[in-house]
Amino acid sequence: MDFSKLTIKKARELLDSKELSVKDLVDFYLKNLKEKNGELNAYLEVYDDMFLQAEQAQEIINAGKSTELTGIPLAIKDNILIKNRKVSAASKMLENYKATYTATAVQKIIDQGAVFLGRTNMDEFAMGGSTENSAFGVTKNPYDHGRVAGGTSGGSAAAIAADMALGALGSDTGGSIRQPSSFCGVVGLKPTYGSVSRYGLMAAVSSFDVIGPIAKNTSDAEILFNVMKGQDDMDSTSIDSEGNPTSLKLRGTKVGVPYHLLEQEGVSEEVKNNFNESVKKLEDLGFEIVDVNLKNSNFALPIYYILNFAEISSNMSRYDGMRYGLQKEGEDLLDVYNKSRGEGLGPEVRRRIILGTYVLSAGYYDSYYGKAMYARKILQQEFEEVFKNVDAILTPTSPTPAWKIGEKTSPLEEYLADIFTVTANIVGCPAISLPSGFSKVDGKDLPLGIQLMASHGDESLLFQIGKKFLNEN
Amino acid sequence: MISTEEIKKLADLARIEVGEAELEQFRAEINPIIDYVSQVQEVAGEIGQEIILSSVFNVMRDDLLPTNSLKQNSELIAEFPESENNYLKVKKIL
Repeated sequence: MDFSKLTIKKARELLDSKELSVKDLVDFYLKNLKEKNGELNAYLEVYDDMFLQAEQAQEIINAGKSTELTGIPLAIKDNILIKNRKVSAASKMLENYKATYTATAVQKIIDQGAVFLGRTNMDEFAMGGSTENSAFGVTKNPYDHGRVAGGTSGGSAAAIAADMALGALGSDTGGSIRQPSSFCGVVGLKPTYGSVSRYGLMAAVSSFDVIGPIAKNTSDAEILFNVMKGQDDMDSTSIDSEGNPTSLKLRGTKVGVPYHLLEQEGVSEEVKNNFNESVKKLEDLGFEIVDVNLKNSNFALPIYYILNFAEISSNMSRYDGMRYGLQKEGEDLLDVYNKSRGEGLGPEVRRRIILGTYVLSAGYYDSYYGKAMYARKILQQEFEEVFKNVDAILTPTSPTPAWKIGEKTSPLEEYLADIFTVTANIVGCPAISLPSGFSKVDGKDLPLGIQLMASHGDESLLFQIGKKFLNEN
Repeated sequence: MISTEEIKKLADLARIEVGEAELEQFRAEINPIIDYVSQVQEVAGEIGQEIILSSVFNVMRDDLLPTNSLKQNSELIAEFPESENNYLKVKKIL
């Protein structure tokens, strides 16, 4: 059997018909893990109880009680909590920390009897765009080991691309599910803000963060999303998002394309060509393409980063070496704080905390944070208007394919690569990245991705378009 | 333009130790970033507090005791770097 052709959907059929056992599946992924993880560094920890989990899943299947995810081997990003398991946000600050509770979204998956294989690498505390900011080494792109897997969910995306898991969980604050998915040639969904509980997700930017699935195809991403979604009393920002019942007609679904954004500096020729091919493909599939103007999009990155720095600086204050995490010896209490945070937190984290402290400080608060909050509202209103005329908005996911490890030499350079993804987090709408082809760079085929955004709660439209685009049955 | 003294002050406020060499490196990296995000000031319009505040409201939970508080507490206390008699132990404050 060619396990590499499996999807969650296909595996479910084979498991339930007993053609495949859970142990067979886990054996396959463990073999790939052992062969490839040393080189790729996608996983920071491989759980030693995966066969015990597999046995328990097999019992459920044997009793005829399986549900969508029973026995399915999954990877989990290192910032999502499972009780009693180590979880570190790829940081020295939490290197030996053990979770004291389980994330609601994950509990729902555990209740179905899925098998968690291990925790995946990420940029430290979800700050970055390449997984180069991990305190435990970069994750290499399976398509070219000299290049990044993307970030911040680089480990999860690489795990799917390299057949080291059948599905994975990531988190998306400014593109952190979508961008690595596009660099690794897989599907990544950023759900509507609030549709998946954030209880048990380490907070980066509380008003942007969402947990979401990374998978081989749209159907699998849909399965994972449907299991995880739902209002949770433990997260006061969560909602039940049954969505706008999208009329299921495909003929007449309007896809808006902000062509003006493709003319921005930094968008590579390969991406433009692939994007135009993707637009043609959607037209051929029956979608109507409409030119749209997103006139405030040029403010998206400044808005995003001011709010990112501000909220992060607030959320990071809990890592003080007192109740959990790294504690360094000091002369007095103040010294303990300074040293624990100074040594436990990496440079990008400390840079952003300093920037956040700056934009929130007296004298600067109104002109940075205040202005960004106002501009955020303007952008949200603009999107509400656009979604009155189109059903979805299409852009490339990333302005370039994966870059070389070490290629970006300044933080600002890396921030500018987020141009297409941050808007969905600012506005709160759902967005999906779909693999759209490859570009030949230095003799290697590097994956490219397109991004679709829809209005709040309209994941089902994204899934529909995705399944058509990727020719899924 | 932000100086190394200002960065040191911000780092102190945030309780983060930054070495001399790193202070200079941060200054070189942070200034272009502040320049870049300052673009937000060009967004048209006045800052209207009503716009920002009207759509956000606090959600409160019921004022009930947590279940299993003894068990939960012992799990949390196990993560403390230092504890004594179920209290978090820290350096002298006064």
